[in-house]
Amino acid sequence: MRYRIEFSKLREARFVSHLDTVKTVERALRRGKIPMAFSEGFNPHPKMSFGSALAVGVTSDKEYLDLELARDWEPDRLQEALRQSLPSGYRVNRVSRVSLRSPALMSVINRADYLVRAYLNGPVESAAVSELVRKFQDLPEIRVEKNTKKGKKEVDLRPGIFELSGQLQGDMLILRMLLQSGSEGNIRPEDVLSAFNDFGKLGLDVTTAQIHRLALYVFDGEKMLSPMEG
Amino acid sequence: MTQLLENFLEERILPKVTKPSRYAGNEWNSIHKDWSRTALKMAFCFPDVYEVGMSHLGTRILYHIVNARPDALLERVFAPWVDLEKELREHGLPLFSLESRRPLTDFDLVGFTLQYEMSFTNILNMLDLAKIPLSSAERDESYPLIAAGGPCGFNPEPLAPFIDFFVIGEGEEVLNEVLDVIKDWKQDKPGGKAGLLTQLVQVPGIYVPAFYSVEYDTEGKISAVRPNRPGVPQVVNKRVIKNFDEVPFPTKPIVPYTEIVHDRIMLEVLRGCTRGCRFCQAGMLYRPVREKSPETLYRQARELMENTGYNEISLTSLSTSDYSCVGPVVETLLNEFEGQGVGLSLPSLRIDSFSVDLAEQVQRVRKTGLTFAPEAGTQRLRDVINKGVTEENLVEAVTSAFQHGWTTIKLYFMIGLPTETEEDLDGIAYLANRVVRIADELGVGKKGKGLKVTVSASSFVPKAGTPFQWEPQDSLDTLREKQNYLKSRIRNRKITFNWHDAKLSVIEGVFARGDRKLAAALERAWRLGCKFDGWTEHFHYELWMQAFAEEGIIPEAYARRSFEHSDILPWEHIGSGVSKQFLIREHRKALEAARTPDCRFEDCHCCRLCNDLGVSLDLKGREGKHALQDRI
Repeated sequence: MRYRIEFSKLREARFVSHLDTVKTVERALRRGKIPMAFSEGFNPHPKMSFGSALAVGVTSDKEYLDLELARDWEPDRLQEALRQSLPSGYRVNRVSRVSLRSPALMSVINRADYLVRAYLNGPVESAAVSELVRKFQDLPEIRVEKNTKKGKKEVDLRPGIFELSGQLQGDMLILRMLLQSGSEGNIRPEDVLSAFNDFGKLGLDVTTAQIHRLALYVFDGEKMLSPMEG
Repeated sequence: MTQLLENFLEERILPKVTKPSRYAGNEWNSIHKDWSRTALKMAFCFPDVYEVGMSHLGTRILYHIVNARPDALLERVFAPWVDLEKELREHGLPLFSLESRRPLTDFDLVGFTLQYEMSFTNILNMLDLAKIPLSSAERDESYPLIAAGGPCGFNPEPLAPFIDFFVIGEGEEVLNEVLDVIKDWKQDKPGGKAGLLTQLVQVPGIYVPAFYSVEYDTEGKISAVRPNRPGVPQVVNKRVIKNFDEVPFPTKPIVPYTEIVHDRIMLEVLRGCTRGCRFCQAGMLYRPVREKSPETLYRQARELMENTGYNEISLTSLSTSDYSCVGPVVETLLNEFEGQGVGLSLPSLRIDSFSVDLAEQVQRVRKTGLTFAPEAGTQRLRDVINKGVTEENLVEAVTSAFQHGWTTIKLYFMIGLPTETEEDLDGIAYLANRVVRIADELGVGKKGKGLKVTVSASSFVPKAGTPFQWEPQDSLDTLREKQNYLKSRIRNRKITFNWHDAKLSVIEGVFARGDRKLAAALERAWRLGCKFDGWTEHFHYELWMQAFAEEGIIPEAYARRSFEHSDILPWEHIGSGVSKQFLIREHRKALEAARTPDCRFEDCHCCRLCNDLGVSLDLKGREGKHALQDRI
């Protein structure tokens, strides 16, 4: 039986890397005596796959995980068992059965919605922010240099930015951004923030920006669907 | 920490540092007590990073012991990595505990664990980050009491001016007694800090360095170490747990969010080792051997599995293949947990085919490599150090390992041991090559994974409380010459040769047998920027040399010193329970290359520990001695 689990990763859990999250979930499954299905081979591991890796420091309301069990459990029972055995910072929101034939989460998730908050260095006019956001989106391309394993590479962020809005709140700038995500190209919110900061010469403190993922979506060309519906 | 500071830390500082999950706290099974309703507060400081500290079983045991009391709490503090330290200093923030994020000055008692001499600078750094004066004399009762314990506590002298009291020996029982004393005193603090220390020194195992005066003769040798007030014992003997099977052991340990060095269940099966290797401090300090019963281990293993969700149980001790019930215990645990994808591991194996069979049993699927420690290259030198292992044992063990499918073998040796000659170094190369020859004869590495033999050579550091405590350490130049010689002798592409930084071993050697005069050099080194000395990228030999020079200390006079049996040693007033007469006898026998067998299997050698401390050897195997004897 395969289950799709929607969970949040907040507070102290935001500092936990993706790899450590995989281990954390594995241990929670064992503590909860949840009958995991194991892969074959010399080094069997629980059959589970995550929708999207979350960078260290980023919080999220909606992350997804597909999990196979060796026995049939009611989704409610699985949700309750996980609730009791996951450490602080992780919370399970929804659990539902999915078909064993349904495509991998990683291959269908293609949009991510973020809220990014960054400290301003000095006063900025609210109108100026709206103007900057508009101009930024009007750019035909937004080229940034990225460090990859093979060295520096230039990428264009623009095609991967679907929506962008900005507002001020106290001494912080808040950007909401809907970005390309997943195996066909992944745009990182911190790259968009840096590019926006450079473009607007805002002098934001990019290193302490608080990035929060509001949702992940499956965009099928017409509608934005939650992976739970997919 | 106030909410404002906490937010500042969470939002402005932690996102900027590497591995922020080190400082997150709130892990599964971490204990958060009601601060205002708990009478006694203790901070437990591990002077290294989270991943190292959380891998230390003693830290976890004491966390459990104190937090099990309704009237006390214990919170963890680790050395912040240099990036967090920089942020804390820049913003004037104090070092904080993981659980309640409070500064160390909010606690009644701050305890440091002394696992390694080269972590001493981190202790000073942590005190400074906590805004606590380094010197014990500068702290009155408005500061927390600063305590320390652990293996390096058996020569506490280089830390004497900084620490209010040391706990000598095993902490499970004595820590409770200490907390009781502090709790009573705290009511109306009679006599202030001095009054509290006067009461604490009445607790067996507590050493208050300020209550002892050290006198030196004209040559700078110690002429006397004397209590400087009444009611203080001449010798502080270590504390030792009599009933190890029943001592509290945490079965709800913290499960970290992030990977730590030993990321698995640590189940201690026995304490102590009486193999009697003459260089080994742990082997002398943790006597006698006391085992847990199989039933206790099964119960604790089950609880640990349920409470942690780990998929590996490590059966830990100084030498787990020596556990008298190891066979049945391994079998039972494997049968019970196999279906759940849970594995076992044995961290330290003796060199014999019995141990290889055990390893085969636990590593049925994944053969991760085997490590053996012959320690010395020739039978003569192995007899000198009383390592009861022969070339035949090694041949038998590696043959068995190769036949069972292992292709990765690590061999641990030590260079610079007393009486070592070129022949002994040649012996290391000979043994390494012999292992490769055995592999070739058995066709190991012909198909699939290649053969890999790793030889590691660490440098001998004479340690307090061992039969080699009187022996000098080799000089830096000699150690390097020996390393180079070995490199030239081990020229085989199937062998990887590793060696330790001799400079680090030399500083370790200074402090391992140091006296109180070294404290000034330690503080100077820290002021010059020394910290995290055990981390290659942070070790600055030249700063250490500068610190010694500025304080008028000649490091060679410590590391290279040859003590007479009649000399008063700087740690003479700290008792490990093993008598000086026994250590002298062992030292003499070493120089004659005469062996002393294990008192578990043969007669007692009168180290006097069992008599003097009222403990005894406790083996749980039904056949006891004889079953074990068959195996050696």
